[in-house]
Amino acid sequence: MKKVNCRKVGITLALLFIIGLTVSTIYSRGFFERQKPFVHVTGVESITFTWEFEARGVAGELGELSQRLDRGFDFDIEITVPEEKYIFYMSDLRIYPGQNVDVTFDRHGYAINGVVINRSFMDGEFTLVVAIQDPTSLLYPGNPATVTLEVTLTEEDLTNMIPMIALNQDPFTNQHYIYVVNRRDGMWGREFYVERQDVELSWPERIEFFYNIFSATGFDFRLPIVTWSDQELYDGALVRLWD
Amino acid sequence: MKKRLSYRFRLAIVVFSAIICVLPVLFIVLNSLMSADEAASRYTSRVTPVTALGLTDGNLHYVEATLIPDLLTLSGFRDILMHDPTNLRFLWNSLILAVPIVVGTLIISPMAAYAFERLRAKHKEKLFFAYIITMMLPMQALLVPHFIAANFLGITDNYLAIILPAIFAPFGVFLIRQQMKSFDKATIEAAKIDGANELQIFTSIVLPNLKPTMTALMVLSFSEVWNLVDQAVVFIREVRFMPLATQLSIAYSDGMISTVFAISTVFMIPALIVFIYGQDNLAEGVGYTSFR
Repeated sequence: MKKVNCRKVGITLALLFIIGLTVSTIYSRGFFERQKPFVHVTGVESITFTWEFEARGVAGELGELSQRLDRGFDFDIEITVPEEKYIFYMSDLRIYPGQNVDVTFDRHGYAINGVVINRSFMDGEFTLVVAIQDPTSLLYPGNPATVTLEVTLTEEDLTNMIPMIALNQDPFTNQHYIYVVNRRDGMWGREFYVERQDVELSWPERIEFFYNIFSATGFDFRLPIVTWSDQELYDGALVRLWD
Repeated sequence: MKKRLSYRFRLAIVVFSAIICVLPVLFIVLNSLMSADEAASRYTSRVTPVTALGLTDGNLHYVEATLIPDLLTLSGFRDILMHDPTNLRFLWNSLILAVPIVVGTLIISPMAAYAFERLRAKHKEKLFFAYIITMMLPMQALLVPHFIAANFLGITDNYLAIILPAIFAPFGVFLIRQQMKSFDKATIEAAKIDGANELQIFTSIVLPNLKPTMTALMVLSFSEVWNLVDQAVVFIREVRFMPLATQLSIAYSDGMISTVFAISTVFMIPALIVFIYGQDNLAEGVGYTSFR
């Protein structure tokens, strides 16, 4: 029986092993990369927003004005604020008695200065009472005119605004959270992964298609935020960025 | 008759010992062909559809080791070779560590052994004794001085902290020097008379006769460095630079049993290849043979 040359066999096997390992590494890296979810990311936006509060009401009978008010007010108008508006605008005492407001009657079309004299919440309705002057003298008690109340509240520099689709909510704890993309040196070089960050909604919670968020843990919002993913994400998941 | 019985008895002991030695390897190789579900149900406490019924009957869940799986599959190999490159990275790390160490040992050890054997120095034997006495110390005892030296050189968290001490390890020097003692001094003296310098004597006369020993040294040092764990744990901080030997136990504790069997099988292949390459010379290399 012919003696096997072990050296040649060993060298051949070693070469085959190295080639096989190289091919396997290249293929498995590509496969592993393709399994990662694709994500779209965005940064937080800064918005300067001027708050204008509108509510419609009916001019009521001129009741007895509070003694605290100066003379010159002719009517008080009771306005019922729609729930969605009062949640955003009435909280934090942004509408308060003594606040100056502009009242525009449909009939006139121009703004009349008024003052908030009362605000109350009863039976699920938020009600404002505004006292106005009537320089036109065209209004009378009981006039059922509708009014548009405009109050310029404030200008806010909101620096942590995220698109609505970036905000998630845990179905078990109702905790709001976002996914941020971070970078690290992984097994085969640089890799991206997502981290779940719990956030809270800050007033005003929503402006158009953005949510106003802040982090109770002091998280820095300079990292990209995931707005879309083609697969379910979880904390620590490796991802690919959609170029 | 007595001779035959004695021979059969000795043969039985040898065969039995061989089976004992081969059994763990056979166990790993055959279990690497097990499916992930079967591996989980046999070797972990994880409740699977297979074990759930047994647990509801009040039975305890023991490890149910088997040599041959119920269903033979290559899914474990597919996972480690084609789906997840993590273990391959560790395997490459092991190769990156092992190859320089073996090559460096094969370069340094003959030269050092030749120097110890040929040079005429006053306290040569005492120096050699002090050098090889470290072979008697457990490797863990040498880790602290190695770490201090590596820290001084600024090579901690670097493969050099493992490669350099391994290259200058005394075992290779000891093995080759013992082989050189059997060299015929007359041949070397004749070469010297003919005008050959020490380098020429070393490369033309000594080295060719050291081939069996060098092959044996290659096999032995490779098998030692391939299973390296302690030095890697001490000197390497980042997981992605760790050799595979350190990660097998982690993979086991993560519950990926079928992967552990498969990657262990793959892990054995380089050592096997090196052994196949050097098996002709292994016995001869570590024994004392005559100078040719």
